[in-house]
Order: sequence, then structure tokens, then C-alpha cells
Amino acid sequence: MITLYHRPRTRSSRFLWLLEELGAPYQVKLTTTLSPDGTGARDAANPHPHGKVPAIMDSDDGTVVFESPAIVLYLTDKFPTAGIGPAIGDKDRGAYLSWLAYYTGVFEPSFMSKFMNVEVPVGSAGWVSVEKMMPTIIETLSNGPYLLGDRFSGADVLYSTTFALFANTPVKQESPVIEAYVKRALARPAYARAQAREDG
Amino acid sequence: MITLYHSPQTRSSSIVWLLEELGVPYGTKHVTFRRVDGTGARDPVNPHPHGKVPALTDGGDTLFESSAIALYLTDKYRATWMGPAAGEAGRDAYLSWLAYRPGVLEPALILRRLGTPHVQGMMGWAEANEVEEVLNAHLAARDYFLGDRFSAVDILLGGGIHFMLMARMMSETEVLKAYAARVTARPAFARMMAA
Ligand SMILES: N[C@@H](CCC(=O)N[C@@H](CS)C(=O)NCC(=O)O)C(=O)O
Ligand SMILES: N[C@@H](CCC(=O)N[C@@H](CS)C(=O)NCC(=O)O)C(=O)O
Repeated sequence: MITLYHRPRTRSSRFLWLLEELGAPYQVKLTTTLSPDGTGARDAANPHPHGKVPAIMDSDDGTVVFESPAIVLYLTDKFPTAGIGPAIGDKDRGAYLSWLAYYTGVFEPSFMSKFMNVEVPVGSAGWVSVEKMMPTIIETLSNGPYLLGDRFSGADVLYSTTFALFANTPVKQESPVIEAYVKRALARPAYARAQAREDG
Repeated sequence: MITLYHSPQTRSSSIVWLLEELGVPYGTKHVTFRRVDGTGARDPVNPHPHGKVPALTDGGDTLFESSAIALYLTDKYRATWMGPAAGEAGRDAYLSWLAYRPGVLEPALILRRLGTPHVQGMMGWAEANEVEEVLNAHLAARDYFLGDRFSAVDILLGGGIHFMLMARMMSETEVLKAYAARVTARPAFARMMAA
């Protein structure tokens, strides 16, 4: 049984979606985190080393996983029957691992730099500017429709929800490819089931 | 055959170190990229989408991003143990700490150096001092990230810590100093440095 440490409408929400996609047995443990406005407090029960969400605990063997790309991979490896995580040896495994790592190492810091209006130092930062990054993503999804081609995967859960979140912010991406991608991904039945569990 | 797209004294050196630990045959292709000082240019043969290093090809597989490459290699080449396999004890910590390097350690410390204020709760990483606290506390209690066994996490995160101590991007503590000395004492590290 998987326990998801979750705070509604945060980076943990999409893990409800992933767990629904996988048909995994899970329970939601509502938790609190520190918010940008200074409200909220860390929850000592949350096993993430910085008290962030998401984190998961697997009561089958007491394992604890933190950081989104790690949790996605752990879960899709553990529950392979849904077919949304290419297994070790699969021809798509390399691309799957790469896009998961890229999410945390490039995609998020890239948008955060833009949001904070800081220039990305070429050569030393591990990421690039949004302007350099987006053509790569748009090209990949144009050939797609998903990051791994015609195969929806756990990586799409991370990227599509982030683009959806940006829709009402200054970093919104005006691109028909991105719009179609978000629409297609979020139309999946598991996404609707997850929304019904958002508050616990 | 494994080909590593590499440039000496960069993040791709970690993958040289890992390949030396694994003892698998590989080739390196030296590529150039745009440097901090503005010299150098992106090499079109490099398959990384932004021309960064490392990138790696192996048979029909193409990979970019350090943590993805490390995981791919340690899952595929298992004659030398460099990390728990899927289903093996310790896999949880292995995946989590591999993701921690690009997702938390690097952005936190690079943005501190740039003087960008940390926005609690919104940024996907933590405040740099807190990252240092977590790493010190974790390593004070064990020799290696996964306990008493050296793994690829100690190359990626450990190599990162070693580098950031040298670049004075991180505060030196007895714990981190001893840890960096422990991991860089490995023969494969020396082979990487000599390559
Ligand atoms: N790098 C983490 C980011 C997680 C994260 O920052 N979550 C936010 C909620 S959206 C949080 O818990 N913030 C509370 C805090 O930073 O203290 C991941 O990829 O999972
Ligand atoms: N997020 C990447 C970072 C790789 C990276 O930024 N490498 C540097 C060399 S140390 C690079 O290639 N910089 C050239 C550039 O940014 O164009 C990873 O974890 O592998």
C-alpha cells in the first residue's frame, strides 16, 4: 500500500493522477507545508528531508521516496501493468529517464529563473533559459504527441500538469502544440478520478 | 558500444568516473560547448538537446542529463554493484538522492551564488543553508549516501559536493570534508582525473 503525502493543489496533486493511472493501492495522507505567504507549517510526519510534497511511503517494505522524478520512476517500475513507464531494457527507457531528469534539472529551474527575472548563466547553470528550452519541447511534442512519441508516460504527468498550471500566469506558453498536449493529457479518465480525490 | 559525449573538467567527468567504476568498455567523444567566458561553441554531434555535457549513446539508446545517464548505466551494467536494482533494498533512497542533485543541490547553490533570494514554498528546491544542513546531517550518520556501501549517488552528489567545496560554493565542515576525501580516494576517481 502506497501512502502519498499530499497537500491539495500543489506538486503532489499530480501523483493522485499517476496512482490512478497505475491502478495502485494507495491512501492519501493530507499534510501541511510552508507556503510562500509564510502561512502553514512543516509536518514532522512527512519524510521529505525538506518537508516538501510529494513524498511517498510504501508500507509493503517501509520504503520512502522523495523528489518528483524519483517517485514517478519508483511507481511506474513497481506497477508496470498500466504500461506508462518503459521498463529496463525497453527501447524507450533511455528517453523516459532523460525526460524525467530534465524535468527537475532543466524545466523547473528554467521557468523559475524566468519567473524571478534572473538571467541564466551560460556554461555554469545546469539549465537553460525558457527561450532556449521551449523549442526543444515543442519540437518533441510536435513529433509526439507525447514526450516518448505515441506513448503516454509518467513523464507526461509532470510536464502536462505544469503547463496547465501556467495557463493563468505570466509564464504561460502561447503555443497550439502545448495547448493540444495539455488538453489531450488531462482528458484521460484517471485525471478526472484524481481530481475527485484532491481534498483527501 | 557506449559513447560518452564529454568535455574534461565538467559535469561529464562524473560519468567517466562511473564508467571506470563499472569497468565496462566505452569510448569518449570530446565536444565543445559555450563556456562561462563566452568562448567555445555548441558541437552539433552532441545529442543533448542544449548541447550540454554529459550525453551518452549506447546501441540504439540516447540519453541526456547526468542522473538519467547514471541510472541507465547502473541498471544495465550490473557486474559491478554501483546501485540497488529495481526491487532491491535501498532503491528508494537511490532514486531520491539521484534526483536531489539536479533538482535541489544545484539550483539552490547556484542561485545563492547569483544572489537570487529563495522563495520558500514555491521553488522546487530549498534554501541553500538548509540543503547544507540536510547533507551534513545525513552524512554525519553514515559513510556513504546509501549507508556503508559506495554507489553512483556518491559520484553524482558526492562529486558535486567535492566540486562545490573546491569552488567555495558550499561551507566546508568536518563531515563534508571527510566525506569528499573518502569518495575521491577511490582509484576510479584518480583514473578519471588522469584521463
Ligand atoms: N523538487 C521537488 C519540489 C517539491 C516542492 O517544492 N513542493 C512544494 C509544493 S508545490 C512544497 O512542498 N513546498 C514547501 C516548501 O518548500 O517548504 C519535487 O520535484 O518533488
Ligand atoms: N542538468 C545537466 C547539466 C549539464 C551541464 O550544464 N553541463 C555543462 C558543463 S559542466 C554544460 O554543458 N554547459 C554548456 C551549456 O550550458 O551550454 C546535467 O545534470 O547533466
